[in-house]
Amino acid sequence: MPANIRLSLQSLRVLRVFLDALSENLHAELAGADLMSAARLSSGTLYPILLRFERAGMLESRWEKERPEKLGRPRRRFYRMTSAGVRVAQEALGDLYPVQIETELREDMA
Amino acid sequence: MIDTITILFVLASIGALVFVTAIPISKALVRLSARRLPAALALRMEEEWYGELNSINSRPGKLAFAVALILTRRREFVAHGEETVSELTPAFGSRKSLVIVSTAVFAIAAYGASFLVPVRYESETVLISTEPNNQVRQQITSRAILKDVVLSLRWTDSMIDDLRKNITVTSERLGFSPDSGSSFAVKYLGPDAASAQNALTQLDRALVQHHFQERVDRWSAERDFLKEELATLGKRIEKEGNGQAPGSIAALDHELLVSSYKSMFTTYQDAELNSALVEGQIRIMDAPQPGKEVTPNRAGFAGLGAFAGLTMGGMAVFGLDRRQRRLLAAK
Repeated sequence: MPANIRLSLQSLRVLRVFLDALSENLHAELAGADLMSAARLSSGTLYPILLRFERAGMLESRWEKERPEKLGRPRRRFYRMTSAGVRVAQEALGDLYPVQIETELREDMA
Repeated sequence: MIDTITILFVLASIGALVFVTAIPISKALVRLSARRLPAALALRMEEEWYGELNSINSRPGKLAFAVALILTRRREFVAHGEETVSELTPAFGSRKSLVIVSTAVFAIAAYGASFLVPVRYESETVLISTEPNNQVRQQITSRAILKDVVLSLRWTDSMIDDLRKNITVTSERLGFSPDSGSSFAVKYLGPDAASAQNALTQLDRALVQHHFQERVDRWSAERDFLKEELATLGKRIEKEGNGQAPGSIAALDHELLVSSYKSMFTTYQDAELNSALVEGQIRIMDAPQPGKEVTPNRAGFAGLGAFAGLTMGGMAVFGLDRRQRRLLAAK
Protein backbone atom coordinates (compact mmCIF):
# COMPACT_ATOMS: atom_id res chain seq x y z
CA MET A 1 0.00 0.00 0.00
CA PRO A 2 1.39 3.46 -0.85
CA ALA A 3 2.69 5.35 2.15
CA ASN A 4 0.71 8.15 3.82
CA ILE A 5 -2.66 7.01 2.52
CA ARG A 6 -5.41 7.19 5.05
CA LEU A 7 -8.18 4.79 4.31
CA SER A 8 -11.19 6.23 6.02
CA LEU A 9 -14.65 4.85 5.51
CA GLN A 10 -15.25 7.54 2.87
CA SER A 11 -12.03 6.58 1.05
CA LEU A 12 -13.12 2.96 1.05
CA ARG A 13 -16.47 3.95 -0.41
CA VAL A 14 -14.65 5.65 -3.29
CA LEU A 15 -12.48 2.57 -3.85
CA ARG A 16 -15.59 0.40 -3.78
CA VAL A 17 -17.25 2.51 -6.48
CA PHE A 18 -14.15 2.26 -8.67
CA LEU A 19 -13.92 -1.50 -8.17
CA ASP A 20 -17.59 -1.90 -9.03
CA ALA A 21 -17.11 0.19 -12.16
CA LEU A 22 -14.05 -1.81 -13.15
CA SER A 23 -15.91 -5.07 -12.70
CA GLU A 24 -18.33 -3.89 -15.39
CA ASN A 25 -15.81 -2.20 -17.66
CA LEU A 26 -12.05 -2.51 -17.41
CA HIS A 27 -11.57 0.99 -18.84
CA ALA A 28 -14.18 2.60 -16.65
CA GLU A 29 -13.62 6.29 -16.03
CA LEU A 30 -15.63 8.33 -13.58
CA ALA A 31 -16.07 12.05 -13.17
CA GLY A 32 -16.49 13.83 -9.85
CA ALA A 33 -20.29 14.19 -9.99
CA ASP A 34 -20.71 10.48 -10.85
CA LEU A 35 -18.51 9.52 -7.92
CA MET A 36 -20.35 11.86 -5.58
CA SER A 37 -23.70 10.28 -6.30
CA ALA A 38 -22.39 6.68 -6.38
CA ALA A 39 -20.34 6.99 -3.18
CA ARG A 40 -22.86 9.37 -1.60
CA LEU A 41 -20.19 11.83 -0.61
CA SER A 42 -20.17 15.60 -0.70
CA SER A 43 -17.80 17.44 -3.01
CA GLY A 44 -15.85 18.69 -0.02
CA THR A 45 -15.15 15.13 1.09
CA LEU A 46 -14.67 13.54 -2.32
CA TYR A 47 -12.12 15.88 -3.92
CA PRO A 48 -9.51 15.73 -1.15
CA ILE A 49 -9.75 11.93 -1.37
CA LEU A 50 -9.37 11.94 -5.16
CA LEU A 51 -6.37 14.26 -4.93
CA ARG A 52 -4.74 12.10 -2.28
CA PHE A 53 -5.28 8.92 -4.31
CA GLU A 54 -3.98 10.60 -7.43
CA ARG A 55 -0.84 11.80 -5.69
CA ALA A 56 -0.32 8.27 -4.35
CA GLY A 57 -0.58 6.86 -7.86
CA MET A 58 -3.76 4.95 -7.16
CA LEU A 59 -5.78 7.03 -9.62
CA GLU A 60 -4.99 8.81 -12.83
CA SER A 61 -7.04 11.51 -14.45
CA ARG A 62 -7.47 13.19 -17.79
CA TRP A 63 -9.49 16.00 -19.29
CA GLU A 64 -12.28 15.39 -21.71
CA LYS A 65 -10.78 15.19 -25.19
CA GLU A 66 -12.95 17.81 -26.88
CA ARG A 67 -12.21 21.46 -26.33
CA PRO A 68 -14.67 23.46 -24.22
CA GLU A 69 -15.44 25.71 -27.22
CA LYS A 70 -16.57 22.68 -29.16
CA LEU A 71 -18.45 21.17 -26.25
CA GLY A 72 -20.14 24.44 -25.41
CA ARG A 73 -19.53 23.83 -21.72
CA PRO A 74 -16.55 23.47 -19.35
CA ARG A 75 -14.52 20.28 -19.75
CA ARG A 76 -14.92 17.49 -17.25
CA ARG A 77 -12.09 15.53 -15.73
CA PHE A 78 -12.29 11.76 -15.58
CA TYR A 79 -10.63 9.51 -13.03
CA ARG A 80 -9.48 5.97 -13.65
CA MET A 81 -8.05 3.49 -11.20
CA THR A 82 -4.49 2.36 -11.83
CA SER A 83 -3.27 -1.18 -11.24
CA ALA A 84 -1.69 0.03 -8.00
CA GLY A 85 -5.03 1.43 -6.98
CA VAL A 86 -6.79 -1.82 -7.77
CA ARG A 87 -4.28 -3.68 -5.66
CA VAL A 88 -4.77 -1.33 -2.72
CA ALA A 89 -8.53 -1.44 -3.07
CA GLN A 90 -8.64 -5.21 -3.19
CA GLU A 91 -6.26 -5.42 -0.30
CA ALA A 92 -8.25 -3.00 1.79
CA LEU A 93 -11.69 -4.18 0.89
CA GLY A 94 -10.91 -7.84 0.50
CA ASP A 95 -8.16 -9.15 2.70
CA LEU A 96 -7.71 -6.70 5.51
CA TYR A 97 -11.35 -6.16 6.44
CA PRO A 98 -13.08 -8.94 4.53
CA VAL A 99 -16.43 -9.02 6.27
CA GLN A 100 -16.73 -5.95 8.39
CA ILE A 101 -15.94 -3.26 5.80
CA GLU A 102 -17.63 -5.00 2.92
CA THR A 103 -20.82 -5.35 4.92
CA GLU A 104 -20.64 -1.83 6.28
CA LEU A 105 -20.03 -0.32 2.88
CA ARG A 106 -22.70 -2.28 1.16
CA GLU A 107 -25.24 -1.44 3.88
CA ASP A 108 -24.20 2.16 3.81
CA MET A 109 -24.52 2.43 0.08
CA ALA A 110 -27.69 0.39 -0.21
CA MET B 1 -51.25 34.19 13.10
CA ILE B 2 -49.92 37.29 11.36
CA ASP B 3 -46.47 36.52 12.72
CA THR B 4 -46.58 33.01 11.26
CA ILE B 5 -47.65 34.37 7.87
CA THR B 6 -44.88 36.97 7.99
CA ILE B 7 -42.26 34.34 8.87
CA LEU B 8 -43.50 32.04 6.10
CA PHE B 9 -43.49 34.93 3.65
CA VAL B 10 -39.93 35.92 4.61
CA LEU B 11 -38.74 32.30 4.39
CA ALA B 12 -40.43 31.86 1.02
CA SER B 13 -38.84 35.08 -0.23
CA ILE B 14 -35.40 33.97 0.95
CA GLY B 15 -35.95 30.57 -0.65
CA ALA B 16 -37.00 32.16 -3.94
CA LEU B 17 -34.04 34.50 -3.87
CA VAL B 18 -31.61 31.65 -3.23
CA PHE B 19 -33.23 29.59 -5.99
CA VAL B 20 -32.95 32.40 -8.51
CA THR B 21 -29.38 33.25 -7.59
CA ALA B 22 -28.21 29.65 -6.99
CA ILE B 23 -26.17 29.42 -10.21
CA PRO B 24 -24.16 32.64 -9.89
CA ILE B 25 -23.67 32.03 -6.17
CA SER B 26 -22.45 28.47 -6.85
CA LYS B 27 -20.03 29.69 -9.50
CA ALA B 28 -18.70 32.38 -7.21
CA LEU B 29 -18.22 29.89 -4.36
CA VAL B 30 -16.47 27.42 -6.65
CA ARG B 31 -14.16 30.15 -7.94
CA LEU B 32 -13.44 31.23 -4.38
CA SER B 33 -12.79 27.65 -3.27
CA ALA B 34 -10.37 27.06 -6.13
CA ARG B 35 -8.50 30.29 -5.76
CA ARG B 36 -7.49 29.65 -2.21
CA LEU B 37 -5.55 26.57 -3.32
CA PRO B 38 -1.91 26.62 -4.44
CA ALA B 39 -1.74 28.27 -7.87
CA ALA B 40 -0.96 25.14 -9.92
CA LEU B 41 -3.80 23.22 -8.33
CA ALA B 42 -6.18 26.20 -8.39
CA LEU B 43 -6.27 26.40 -12.17
CA ARG B 44 -7.03 22.73 -12.59
CA MET B 45 -9.62 22.53 -9.82
CA GLU B 46 -11.41 25.67 -10.94
CA GLU B 47 -11.92 24.23 -14.43
CA GLU B 48 -12.76 20.78 -13.12
CA TRP B 49 -15.27 22.06 -10.60
CA TYR B 50 -16.91 24.29 -13.21
CA GLY B 51 -17.27 21.20 -15.39
CA GLU B 52 -18.88 19.21 -12.59
CA LEU B 53 -21.06 22.12 -11.53
CA ASN B 54 -22.33 22.32 -15.10
CA SER B 55 -23.13 18.62 -15.12
CA ILE B 56 -25.33 18.87 -12.01
CA ASN B 57 -28.88 19.62 -13.11
CA SER B 58 -30.66 20.83 -9.99
CA ARG B 59 -30.01 24.26 -8.55
CA PRO B 60 -29.96 23.05 -4.92
CA GLY B 61 -27.51 20.36 -6.05
CA LYS B 62 -25.23 22.97 -7.59
CA LEU B 63 -25.41 25.06 -4.45
CA ALA B 64 -24.70 22.06 -2.21
CA PHE B 65 -21.69 21.16 -4.40
CA ALA B 66 -20.25 24.66 -4.09
CA VAL B 67 -21.03 25.10 -0.40
CA ALA B 68 -19.38 21.79 0.49
CA LEU B 69 -16.23 22.88 -1.32
CA ILE B 70 -16.03 26.25 0.37
CA LEU B 71 -16.62 24.68 3.77
CA THR B 72 -13.74 22.26 3.32
CA ARG B 73 -10.49 23.41 4.81
CA ARG B 74 -7.76 24.35 2.36
CA ARG B 75 -5.29 21.97 3.88
CA GLU B 76 -7.50 19.00 2.99
CA PHE B 77 -6.71 19.63 -0.67
CA VAL B 78 -3.04 20.43 -0.21
CA ALA B 79 -0.54 17.60 0.01
CA HIS B 80 2.07 17.51 2.71
CA GLY B 81 4.99 19.65 1.56
CA GLU B 82 2.97 21.61 -0.99
CA GLU B 83 2.70 25.35 -0.73
CA THR B 84 1.83 26.52 2.75
CA VAL B 85 1.60 29.89 4.38
CA SER B 86 5.23 29.61 5.48
CA GLU B 87 6.22 29.46 1.81
CA LEU B 88 4.91 32.96 1.45
CA THR B 89 7.75 34.19 3.63
CA PRO B 90 10.20 34.32 0.70
CA ALA B 91 7.58 36.33 -1.21
CA PHE B 92 7.53 38.86 1.60
CA GLY B 93 11.31 38.77 1.74
CA SER B 94 11.68 39.61 -1.93
CA ARG B 95 9.15 42.41 -1.72
CA LYS B 96 9.88 43.68 1.74
CA SER B 97 10.64 47.15 0.38
CA LEU B 98 7.01 47.37 -0.77
CA VAL B 99 5.79 46.55 2.74
CA ILE B 100 8.24 48.97 4.36
CA VAL B 101 7.38 51.80 1.97
CA SER B 102 3.62 51.35 2.31
CA THR B 103 3.92 51.18 6.11
CA ALA B 104 6.03 54.33 6.22
CA VAL B 105 3.84 56.24 3.75
CA PHE B 106 0.64 55.40 5.58
CA ALA B 107 2.17 56.24 8.97
CA ILE B 108 3.43 59.62 7.74
CA ALA B 109 0.14 60.36 5.99
CA ALA B 110 -1.80 59.54 9.16
CA TYR B 111 0.55 61.66 11.26
CA GLY B 112 0.03 64.54 8.81
CA ALA B 113 -3.72 63.99 8.87
CA SER B 114 -3.68 64.39 12.65
CA PHE B 115 -2.84 68.07 12.09
CA LEU B 116 -6.13 68.47 10.26
CA VAL B 117 -7.97 67.45 13.41
CA PRO B 118 -8.56 70.70 15.36
CA VAL B 119 -6.89 71.23 18.72
CA ARG B 120 -9.41 71.40 21.56
CA TYR B 121 -9.17 73.08 24.96
CA GLU B 122 -10.31 71.37 28.12
CA SER B 123 -11.44 73.12 31.26
CA GLU B 124 -12.39 71.39 34.49
CA THR B 125 -14.45 72.17 37.56
CA VAL B 126 -14.93 70.09 40.70
CA LEU B 127 -18.21 69.95 42.63
CA ILE B 128 -19.32 68.22 45.79
CA SER B 129 -22.87 67.14 46.45
CA THR B 130 -24.63 64.93 48.95
CA GLU B 131 -27.43 64.22 46.52
CA PRO B 132 -27.61 60.88 44.70
CA ASN B 133 -24.90 60.47 42.11
CA ASN B 134 -27.21 59.87 39.13
CA GLN B 135 -29.41 62.78 40.02
CA VAL B 136 -26.47 65.20 39.99
CA ARG B 137 -25.18 63.80 36.70
CA GLN B 138 -28.61 64.22 35.15
CA GLN B 139 -28.84 67.75 36.46
CA ILE B 140 -25.47 68.71 34.97
CA THR B 141 -26.47 67.63 31.48
CA SER B 142 -30.16 68.52 31.78
CA ARG B 143 -31.66 70.69 29.10
CA ALA B 144 -32.80 73.30 31.64
CA ILE B 145 -29.26 73.85 32.91
CA LEU B 146 -27.63 73.77 29.49
CA LYS B 147 -30.22 76.16 28.12
CA ASP B 148 -29.26 78.64 30.85
CA VAL B 149 -25.60 78.21 29.92
CA VAL B 150 -26.29 78.73 26.25
CA LEU B 151 -28.39 81.83 26.95
CA SER B 152 -25.78 83.39 29.23
CA LEU B 153 -23.07 82.75 26.62
CA ARG B 154 -25.34 84.13 23.90
CA TRP B 155 -25.06 80.96 21.93
CA THR B 156 -27.91 79.58 19.87
CA ASP B 157 -30.30 76.90 21.14
CA SER B 158 -28.97 74.48 18.58
CA MET B 159 -25.69 74.40 20.48
CA ILE B 160 -27.19 72.67 23.50
CA ASP B 161 -26.56 69.21 22.03
CA ASP B 162 -23.04 70.20 21.06
CA LEU B 163 -22.43 71.41 24.61
CA ARG B 164 -23.80 68.21 26.08
CA LYS B 165 -21.63 66.12 23.74
CA ASN B 166 -18.48 67.85 24.91
CA ILE B 167 -19.18 67.56 28.63
CA THR B 168 -17.84 64.61 30.56
CA VAL B 169 -18.66 63.94 34.19
CA THR B 170 -16.70 61.62 36.42
CA SER B 171 -17.64 61.06 40.03
CA GLU B 172 -16.15 59.56 43.13
CA ARG B 173 -17.76 58.79 46.45
CA LEU B 174 -16.27 60.64 49.37
CA GLY B 175 -17.07 58.05 52.02
CA PHE B 176 -18.90 54.84 52.73
CA SER B 177 -22.06 56.25 54.32
CA PRO B 178 -24.91 57.29 52.02
CA ASP B 179 -24.75 60.86 53.37
CA SER B 180 -21.06 61.35 52.72
CA GLY B 181 -21.69 62.59 49.19
CA SER B 182 -19.60 62.49 46.03
CA SER B 183 -17.18 64.70 44.21
CA PHE B 184 -17.80 65.39 40.54
CA ALA B 185 -15.16 66.39 38.02
CA VAL B 186 -16.89 68.10 35.13
CA LYS B 187 -14.82 68.64 31.98
CA TYR B 188 -15.68 70.57 28.90
CA LEU B 189 -13.86 70.53 25.56
CA GLY B 190 -14.13 73.84 23.77
CA PRO B 191 -12.68 75.39 20.64
CA ASP B 192 -10.50 77.81 22.64
CA ALA B 193 -9.22 78.25 26.19
CA ALA B 194 -11.52 81.13 27.14
CA SER B 195 -14.75 79.66 25.82
CA ALA B 196 -14.01 76.34 27.54
CA GLN B 197 -13.63 78.18 30.85
CA ASN B 198 -16.65 80.42 30.25
CA ALA B 199 -18.90 77.53 29.45
CA LEU B 200 -17.99 75.74 32.68
CA THR B 201 -18.28 78.90 34.75
CA GLN B 202 -21.79 79.39 33.44
CA LEU B 203 -22.54 75.74 34.02
CA ASP B 204 -21.48 76.07 37.68
CA ARG B 205 -23.59 79.17 38.10
CA ALA B 206 -26.65 77.63 36.47
CA LEU B 207 -26.26 74.46 38.48
CA VAL B 208 -26.05 76.22 41.83
CA GLN B 209 -28.88 78.57 40.92
CA HIS B 210 -31.20 75.78 39.81
CA HIS B 211 -30.35 73.73 42.83
CA PHE B 212 -30.87 76.64 45.17
CA GLN B 213 -34.18 77.62 43.59
CA GLU B 214 -35.50 74.11 43.73
CA ARG B 215 -34.72 73.73 47.39
CA VAL B 216 -35.95 77.21 48.27
CA ASP B 217 -39.25 76.42 46.58
CA ARG B 218 -39.54 73.17 48.45
CA TRP B 219 -38.71 74.60 51.91
CA SER B 220 -40.58 77.86 51.40
CA ALA B 221 -43.83 76.04 50.76
CA GLU B 222 -43.38 74.07 53.98
CA ARG B 223 -42.37 77.16 55.92
CA ASP B 224 -45.35 79.16 54.67
CA PHE B 225 -47.73 76.38 55.58
CA LEU B 226 -46.29 76.12 59.08
CA LYS B 227 -46.45 79.88 59.48
CA GLU B 228 -50.13 79.91 58.67
CA GLU B 229 -50.83 77.03 61.01
CA LEU B 230 -48.91 78.78 63.81
CA ALA B 231 -50.91 81.97 63.32
CA THR B 232 -54.20 80.06 63.48
CA LEU B 233 -53.06 78.20 66.59
CA GLY B 234 -51.88 81.40 68.23
CA LYS B 235 -55.28 82.99 67.69
CA ARG B 236 -57.05 79.98 69.21
CA ILE B 237 -54.78 80.07 72.27
CA GLU B 238 -55.39 83.73 72.74
CA LYS B 239 -59.12 83.31 72.36
CA GLU B 240 -59.65 80.15 74.45
CA GLY B 241 -56.96 80.63 77.10
CA ASN B 242 -58.38 83.71 78.83
CA GLY B 243 -60.22 83.25 82.19
CA GLN B 244 -60.34 79.42 82.36
CA ALA B 245 -60.39 77.84 85.82
CA PRO B 246 -57.34 75.65 86.56
CA GLY B 247 -58.06 71.85 86.13
CA SER B 248 -61.11 72.41 83.96
CA ILE B 249 -61.43 70.72 80.54
CA ALA B 250 -61.04 74.06 78.85
CA ALA B 251 -57.76 74.65 80.71
CA LEU B 252 -56.43 71.22 79.63
CA ASP B 253 -57.40 71.99 76.07
CA HIS B 254 -55.50 75.21 76.36
CA GLU B 255 -52.37 73.39 77.57
CA LEU B 256 -52.63 70.98 74.65
CA LEU B 257 -52.87 73.88 72.22
CA VAL B 258 -49.81 75.51 73.75
CA SER B 259 -47.87 72.26 73.49
CA SER B 260 -48.86 71.85 69.82
CA TYR B 261 -47.85 75.42 69.17
CA LYS B 262 -44.39 74.82 70.68
CA SER B 263 -43.85 71.66 68.63
CA MET B 264 -44.96 73.34 65.42
CA PHE B 265 -42.78 76.32 66.16
CA THR B 266 -39.73 74.01 66.41
CA THR B 267 -40.59 72.49 63.01
CA TYR B 268 -40.99 75.94 61.59
CA GLN B 269 -37.56 76.96 62.86
CA ASP B 270 -36.07 73.84 61.22
CA ALA B 271 -37.71 74.77 57.92
CA GLU B 272 -36.32 78.30 58.19
CA LEU B 273 -32.87 76.95 58.92
CA ASN B 274 -33.01 74.50 56.02
CA SER B 275 -34.05 77.14 53.54
CA ALA B 276 -31.12 79.22 54.72
CA LEU B 277 -28.67 76.33 54.30
CA VAL B 278 -29.74 75.21 50.83
CA GLU B 279 -26.56 76.41 49.16
CA GLY B 280 -24.56 73.98 51.23
CA GLN B 281 -26.03 70.96 49.42
CA ILE B 282 -23.95 71.48 46.29
CA ARG B 283 -20.62 73.23 46.41
CA ILE B 284 -18.09 74.31 43.85
CA MET B 285 -14.74 73.05 45.10
CA ASP B 286 -12.62 74.14 42.19
CA ALA B 287 -13.67 76.88 39.81
CA PRO B 288 -12.96 76.35 36.12
CA GLN B 289 -9.49 77.30 34.91
CA PRO B 290 -8.65 78.48 31.39
CA GLY B 291 -8.79 75.46 29.07
CA LYS B 292 -5.67 73.39 28.57
CA GLU B 293 -4.70 72.41 25.06
CA VAL B 294 -5.77 68.89 24.15
CA THR B 295 -4.09 67.82 20.93
CA PRO B 296 -5.13 64.76 18.92
CA ASN B 297 -3.16 61.65 19.77
CA ARG B 298 -0.62 62.00 16.95
CA ALA B 299 1.35 58.90 17.95
CA GLY B 300 -1.89 56.93 17.92
CA PHE B 301 -2.74 58.29 14.47
CA ALA B 302 0.73 57.33 13.20
CA GLY B 303 0.44 53.86 14.74
CA LEU B 304 -2.93 53.25 13.11
CA GLY B 305 -1.55 54.51 9.81
CA ALA B 306 1.44 52.18 10.10
CA PHE B 307 -0.84 49.26 10.81
CA ALA B 308 -3.03 50.11 7.81
CA GLY B 309 0.09 50.47 5.64
CA LEU B 310 1.45 47.14 6.83
CA THR B 311 -1.85 45.44 6.05
CA MET B 312 -2.13 47.04 2.63
CA GLY B 313 1.49 46.23 1.82
CA GLY B 314 1.04 42.64 2.95
CA MET B 315 -2.07 42.25 0.83
CA ALA B 316 -0.31 43.76 -2.18
CA VAL B 317 2.63 41.36 -1.79
CA PHE B 318 0.28 38.42 -1.40
CA GLY B 319 -1.73 39.44 -4.47
CA LEU B 320 1.38 39.98 -6.60
CA ASP B 321 2.82 36.66 -5.52
CA ARG B 322 -0.38 34.81 -6.33
CA ARG B 323 -0.54 36.49 -9.73
CA GLN B 324 3.05 35.57 -10.49
CA ARG B 325 2.49 31.96 -9.47
CA ARG B 326 -0.65 31.69 -11.59
CA LEU B 327 1.14 33.09 -14.61
CA LEU B 328 4.01 30.65 -14.11
CA ALA B 329 1.63 27.74 -13.69
CA ALA B 330 -0.30 28.75 -16.83
CA LYS B 331 2.93 28.75 -18.84
